[in-house]
Amino acid sequence: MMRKAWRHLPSVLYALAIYGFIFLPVVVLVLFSFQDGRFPIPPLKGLSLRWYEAVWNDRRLMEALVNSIVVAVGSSLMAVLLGFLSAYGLARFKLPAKGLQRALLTAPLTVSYLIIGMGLLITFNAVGIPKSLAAAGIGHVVINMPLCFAIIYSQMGDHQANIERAARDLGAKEWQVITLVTAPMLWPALFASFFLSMTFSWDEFIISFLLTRFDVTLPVEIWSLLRSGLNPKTNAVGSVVFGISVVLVIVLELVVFRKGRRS
Amino acid sequence: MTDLAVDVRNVTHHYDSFTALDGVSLTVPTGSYTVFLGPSGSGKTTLLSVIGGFLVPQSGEVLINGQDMTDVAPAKRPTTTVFQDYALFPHMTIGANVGFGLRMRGIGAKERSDRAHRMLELVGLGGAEDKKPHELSGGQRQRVALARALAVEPSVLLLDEPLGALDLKLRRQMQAELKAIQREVGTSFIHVTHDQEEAMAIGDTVVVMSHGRIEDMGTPERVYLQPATLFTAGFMGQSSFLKGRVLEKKGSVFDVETPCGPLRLSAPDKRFEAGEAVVLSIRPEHFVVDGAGDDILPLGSATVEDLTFAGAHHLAVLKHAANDAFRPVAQMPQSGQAQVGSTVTLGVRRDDVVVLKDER
Amino acid sequence: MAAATKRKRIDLGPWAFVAPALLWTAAFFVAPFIVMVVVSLWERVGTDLVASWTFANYLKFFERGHFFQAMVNSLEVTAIVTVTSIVLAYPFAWIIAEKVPARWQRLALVLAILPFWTSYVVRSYSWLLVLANNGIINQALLGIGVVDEPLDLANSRTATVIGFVHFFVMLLTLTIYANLVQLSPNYRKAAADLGAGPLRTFWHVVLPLTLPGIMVGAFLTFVLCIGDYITPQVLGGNNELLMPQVIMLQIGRRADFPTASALAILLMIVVTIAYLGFARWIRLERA
Repeated sequence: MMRKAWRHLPSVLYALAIYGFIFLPVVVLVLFSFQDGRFPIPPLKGLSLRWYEAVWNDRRLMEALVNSIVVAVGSSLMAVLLGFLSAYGLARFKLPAKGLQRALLTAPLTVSYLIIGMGLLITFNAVGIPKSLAAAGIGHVVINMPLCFAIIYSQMGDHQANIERAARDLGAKEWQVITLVTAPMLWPALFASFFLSMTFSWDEFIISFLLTRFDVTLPVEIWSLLRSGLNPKTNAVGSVVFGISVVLVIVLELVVFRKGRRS
Repeated sequence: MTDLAVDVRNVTHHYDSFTALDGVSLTVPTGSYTVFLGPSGSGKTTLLSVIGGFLVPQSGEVLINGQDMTDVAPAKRPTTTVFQDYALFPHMTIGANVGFGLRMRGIGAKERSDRAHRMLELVGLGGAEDKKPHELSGGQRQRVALARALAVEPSVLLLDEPLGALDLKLRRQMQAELKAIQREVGTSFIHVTHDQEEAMAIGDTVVVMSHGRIEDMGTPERVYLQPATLFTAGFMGQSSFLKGRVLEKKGSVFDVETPCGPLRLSAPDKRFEAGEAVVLSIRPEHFVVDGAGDDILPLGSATVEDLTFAGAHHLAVLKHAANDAFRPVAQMPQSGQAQVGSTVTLGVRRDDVVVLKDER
Repeated sequence: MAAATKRKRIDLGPWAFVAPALLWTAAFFVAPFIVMVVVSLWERVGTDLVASWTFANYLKFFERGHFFQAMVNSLEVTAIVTVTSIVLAYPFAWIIAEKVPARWQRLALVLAILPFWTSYVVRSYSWLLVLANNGIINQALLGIGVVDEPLDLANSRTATVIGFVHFFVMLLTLTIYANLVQLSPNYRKAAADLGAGPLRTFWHVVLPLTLPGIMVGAFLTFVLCIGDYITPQVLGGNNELLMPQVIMLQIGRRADFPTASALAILLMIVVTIAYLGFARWIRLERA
C-alpha cells in the first residue's frame, strides 16, 4: 500500500500545481473584490462589500449588464431557431449541394471574431446601419448559429428520423411532427446550444466593442473600467460576472447532462 | 375484392443500380398473418415500405382494402408500422406514446387514455402508462410499439423485424404472443424477418424473397416440405442437394440418373422433360441411416466426417463413398454407435425427396 | 434498410427550413467578407476612401517594418502558447482520466475548466493583478526574500503568454481528456498482454491514438490565439504589438479601413495555411 501511495505522489503534485495555476487569478480576483481599501493588491486590509455596492450604484454598469442579458437572450434565441430549422431541413429532406450548404453554415466557426466584427463594421458603415446593440446582436447570431446548427444537426440521427416517421405514420402533420416530436426529443441539444450561445454572447467583447456606441454590453463597459488601472470595483464586477457564468454552467450541467445520462 | 387486405401488383423499384423489387405481385387475405422472409438485401423491407407508404415504387400499384394507395402518404393509409428500433417517442410517457395516433385523429383525452389503457392491457403492460420508454426493457418497449400501432385500429399492421433486437428466448416467447394478439384483434399482420424459424412459427403464409423477387409463397408446411425453388429449399431450413438428370418419365413417376445411381422418384406437381437437369433436395431428418424398406431408395454408403450433438439428435456431415462432391447432412440418433470415421448406408423415403429444377 | 423517403411534397418546403439560416449567413458573413476584400483594394486619401483597385495596402505590410514585425510576434507567441499549453495540459488530462476514480472525474474536469467561464476581459485583468509590480507574486517573492526588487512581470511577452496558456490549458485539458476516455481500455490491455510496460504502452499506443485529437486542439489553440486582441492588449503592454492590436489601431485610431482589411485578410491567409498544414498532418497520422 505504501509503495502504491508513493507512486501516485508525482501525479497528485502535478495536478495540484495545475489546479493552482488555473485558480490563482480567479482566487485573487474574488478575494480582493472584498478589499477594504483602494487597491486590489496585498495586503488584504479587511473584508468589505463596499465595492459591490459601488458596482450596484454604477448606473452605466447596471445598464450594460441589462444590455448584455438582452443581447445574449435575443441573439441566442435567434441562433437556436435558425440553427434548428436549418439542421432539420438538411437532415430530413433531399436538397441540392448539401455539403456546400453545411460548409457555408459552419464557415464562421473558423474565422476569428475580430475579422467577423470588422467585416460587419465596414459593411454597416457602408450601408448606413448605425452602431447599436442590435448590430452587436446580429454579429452574435453570426458566431453562434454555426455552433447551434452543428450541435443540433449532430443529434438528428437515423434513429430520430425513424421516430419522426413513426409520428407521420400515426397521422401527425409536418408542424405536429416538429412541435410534438422533433423539438421535444432534441430538447437537450436545443437547451445546450441555447446556453452555450448565451455564455459566448454574454462574454463576447470584440464584436460588441466594434458595433456598439452609446448603449454597450458589459464586457465593453468593463473594458473602459480597465483604463482606470487596478481597481477593486473591477474585481467586484468581474466576480459578479464569474458568479453568473458559474451558475449558468451548473444549470447546464444539472439540467442537460444529468437528463442526457438518464435517457 | 375486400377480402384482400393488401394487393401488390407488379411493383418494381431500383435504388440507383440496385434492384430492390423486381416485378413483385402478391395478395394478403384480410385477417391473416403473413411473413416476408429473406436474407438482407432480398427486398423484403423495401416491399414493407411500399405497403406502408414510406416509399413510392417506380412502377406497379399497391391496393389496400381494394383501394389504390400507391401514392398515398403513410398517415392517410389504414396501415401502421412497428419499427425495428421501436421508434418510441423518448420524451413522452408510455400512455402518451400509445395515445399519440388517437390524439392526431382528434380524439379527446378521456377516450384516448381509456383506449391506450386497453391496448396496454392487451399487450400485457397494463399500468405502465406513466413510465418513460427508457425505464422499460427491450421486450416491453416492443410491446409498447405494438400497442401504439394497434391503438389506431389499422386494417393492416406492418412489423419491420420487430423481434430482431431481442435475445433468442424472449424472441420465441414474443412470437407466440404476437400470434395470439393477432388472433384476438383480427387485424392483418405483415411481418418481416430473416429468421426462418420465426417465419415458420408465426406465419399463416410465408413469402420467401430473394434478389427483389418472390421465390415461394405458401403455408409454412408447404414451403418447408415442398419448396418451389432451390433457393427456398436452401434458405428454409437445411437441405442436402444431389444433382441429377431426368432419364425417363412414366406418368408421375420418373427415373433420375445421379452420381449415387439411378433413382425412381415421384414428383406429383412438377413436370420435367427427359434429359432435363434437376436437383434432389433432401432434409437432414429425411435420410434413413442404416435402414431398408420397400419405399426407401438406397443412396449407397458414406463415411461420417463430422458429428455435432444437437440435443434431440446428432447432426452428421457425411462423405459419400462413390461421389466426393456429395456431402449430405443427416440426422442421426441422439445416442448411437455412429462415430467420426465409421461407414453407414444411406437411404431416403421416396416421397420425401423434393425434385427441383437446376437453375444454375 | 432506411428506405429513402420519396414523398410528394411541395418543392418549397425544405427550402423554407434552410433559407433563413442561409440568407443570414450570406448577408452577415459572406457579404461583409466580400466588402472587406473590396475595401482592402481601395485607398484612403485624407479621410476619404477612394475606390482605386490597388495592392498598396498589402505592400505596406512588407514595406512597413512594424506590420511585418507584428505578424512575426503573433506567430512566435502563438507557437510558444500552443506548445506550452499542450505540454502542460496533456499530463493533467491524463491524470484526470487515469488516476482520478471514475465517479469523481466529471467533477475534477468541471473544476479544471471552471475559470474558463470567467469573463474573457476579466480573466486578463486578473492576471494583471497577479503579475503586477505590487501584485501577489512580487510581494510573495519580496516577502520570502528571493528578490530584492519587484520583477517586471506584467506588460511583457511573458505576461501575454501566461494569460494565453492559462486559457488554453483549460481548453486542451477538455479536448485531450475527451480523447483519452474514448480510447478503449482494451488497447492498453492488449499492449500489456503482449509484454509492453506502461511507458512503452503510452509511447506506442496511447500517444499515437490521441495524436489526431491533440492536433485538432492545437489548431483550435492556434486560431483562437492568433486572432485574440484582449490578452496582448491588457497584459502585453506597448513594448511589442501583435497582429490583432495593429489591426485595431488602424480601425480605432485612424479609421483606416483599407489597411485594416488588408491586414485582416493577411491574417486569415496565415490561418488558412496553418489549417492546410494541420489538416494534412492529421490525415497523415490517421492513415
